Amino acid sequence: MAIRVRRDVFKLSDEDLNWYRRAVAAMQERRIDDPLSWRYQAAMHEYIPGQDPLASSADKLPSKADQDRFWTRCQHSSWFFLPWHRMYLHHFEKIVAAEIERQGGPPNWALPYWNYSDPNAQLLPPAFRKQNGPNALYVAARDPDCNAGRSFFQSRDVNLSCLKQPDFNSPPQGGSSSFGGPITKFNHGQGPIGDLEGTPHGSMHVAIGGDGWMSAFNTAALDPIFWLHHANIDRLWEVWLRDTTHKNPVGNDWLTSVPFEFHDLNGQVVSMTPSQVIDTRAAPLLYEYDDTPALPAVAAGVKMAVKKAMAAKPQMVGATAESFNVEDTTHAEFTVRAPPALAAGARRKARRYFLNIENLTATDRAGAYDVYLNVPKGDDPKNHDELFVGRMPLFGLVEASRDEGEHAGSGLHYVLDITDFVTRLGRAWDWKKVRVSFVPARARARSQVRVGRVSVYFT
Amino acid sequence: MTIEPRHWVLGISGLAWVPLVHHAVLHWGHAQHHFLTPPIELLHWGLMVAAMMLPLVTDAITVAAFRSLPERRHRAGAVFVAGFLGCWLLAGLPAVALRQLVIMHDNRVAAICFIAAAAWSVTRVRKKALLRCHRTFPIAPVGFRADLDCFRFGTSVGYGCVVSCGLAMLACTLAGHSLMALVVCMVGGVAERRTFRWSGTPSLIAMAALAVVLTAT
Repeated sequence: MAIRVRRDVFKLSDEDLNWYRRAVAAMQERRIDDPLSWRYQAAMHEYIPGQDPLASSADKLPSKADQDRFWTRCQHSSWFFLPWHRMYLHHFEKIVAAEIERQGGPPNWALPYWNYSDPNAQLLPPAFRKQNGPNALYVAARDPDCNAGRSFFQSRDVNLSCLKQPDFNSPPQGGSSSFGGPITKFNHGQGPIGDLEGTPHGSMHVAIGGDGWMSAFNTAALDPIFWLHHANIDRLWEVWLRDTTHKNPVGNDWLTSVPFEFHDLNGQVVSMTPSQVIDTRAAPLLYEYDDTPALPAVAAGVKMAVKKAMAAKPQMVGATAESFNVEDTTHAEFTVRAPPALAAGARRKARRYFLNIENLTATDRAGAYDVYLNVPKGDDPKNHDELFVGRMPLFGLVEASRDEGEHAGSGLHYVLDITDFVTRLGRAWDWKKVRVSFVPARARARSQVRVGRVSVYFT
Repeated sequence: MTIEPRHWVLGISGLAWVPLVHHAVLHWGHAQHHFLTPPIELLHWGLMVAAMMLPLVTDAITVAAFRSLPERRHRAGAVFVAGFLGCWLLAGLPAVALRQLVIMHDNRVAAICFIAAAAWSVTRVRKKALLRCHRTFPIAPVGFRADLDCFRFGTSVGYGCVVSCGLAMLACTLAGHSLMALVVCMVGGVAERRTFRWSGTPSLIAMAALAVVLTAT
């Protein structure tokens, strides 16, 4: 079979996107209990009864057993984040492609991706904005600037530093960061968010969505742009692998132990494991991206040193003593103590440093916060770009804060790799007094955000 | 190899099985008829909890330890376990009281309790309680606050554990700490936490099977 080529949406013709539009419109006409319908596919990501913006009295939902089996299956804060979404997109693409072919369109249609890191592609693709006539790709529930075709996000939202992470996975307890997420079983969600899942994945969900669909788990996949966004995230996984020292996990715990179920283009149930979606050019996937650039070269010695440091178990060396609310710009201070193993003179062996923001909860959608370290008292953190260490896009925070949700109210856990920051500051970095500043990047006034703890780990 | 709290927790669990197995072998076939004084009955309950429940929460113990300063890791694990076991010991008091009643020494009563546990297996309340076992809490780095946070973590997980598994544990007690019941419940609990998508059906089947076996014996 021919390999489908997923292309940059800004390189597609209007006709290519018209076929996507027509297929989406057809899927939106199908009933919610039809596995090939728009709403069913979106519900597979997450569905919350009573919070469905398209709910109607005429709805006939699938049986409870089917809802439990197929809906609300998305994997987040987990090393299954990338393979699950790859499978999800694969089956969606096949369903859309079948509909396009049914309508007389080209065979082998491929889902485009939106490379918003490209400076020439940072406005919402025109096909997704309001048109003169009906447009199934347009959704009113987005950030207004996004929908208006105006600039709506910052460079920090599409930062690709995640591609520098040498390890795919991290320990489930937190401590250190990773590209793909922490080791989990079927996600119970108490682990930290992987770097790619944080930015640009979470950042762009929040930026595009605003108060709308893309910024909530249970409505994100209702927006047709969701699929192009995730195609880009999937593409970045391939880009990360261009560095031959970057490896996917090899154990059966990841490869074969956890099956995930979807519906094929005929609505039949299909079970897949990550082992089947490693190579996009192999069956059953059979697709590739038109552009997966090589990563900048890094000296072998540097890579080896980083790999060695990452292999060591991270140790907690300081944390805040109490939880605190984050309101507008908020600062927290704590002391970092060197553990016995890192006595005087031995500190030079610690090569990686991580800032953990743990048990983050919120009462409503919370936008995003920028994190700065050791901003002098009285100074505005925004005037200290050199002290910026990362952005926390709080996508999924409300869901993770719910007691009755899969996270059981644990909230979210972010890990920011501050190694470069510490190395750059050198002796100016005051270990004894860490001052963390949270600055709203896209905050929502109605949400009360609470930080459980901020901690520093060394490896 | 660095000794971590989960290692000695599993060691405690293993040791707890020794007197339980000894008791079961010694009173094979009629253990449920034995009257034990309340303190001894409570001791048996505690041994059951240590043997069967501690292995199910090693992940949470590891979180408590990992999120602590290195010199506090074992202390964090121990305080967590204290909170966890404290919850279970409180839950054991009604079980101990019930075992003082003659009628409770009939296998059919234990069977009824296993049927109730089977029905409980597929409830949403139990599913929510099981999720609670995975909840994490922030832990202060030092001092009394750190101990309090670890204790609170342990009691929260313990509460979820009691809600999800308390009926099954009561049934095991009413069955005279039957070795078969203990092993089946333990294996079921481990399997439930290792399965990749929660389903109450395996637990329902296991509890129902125990009810049938007890009724027949």
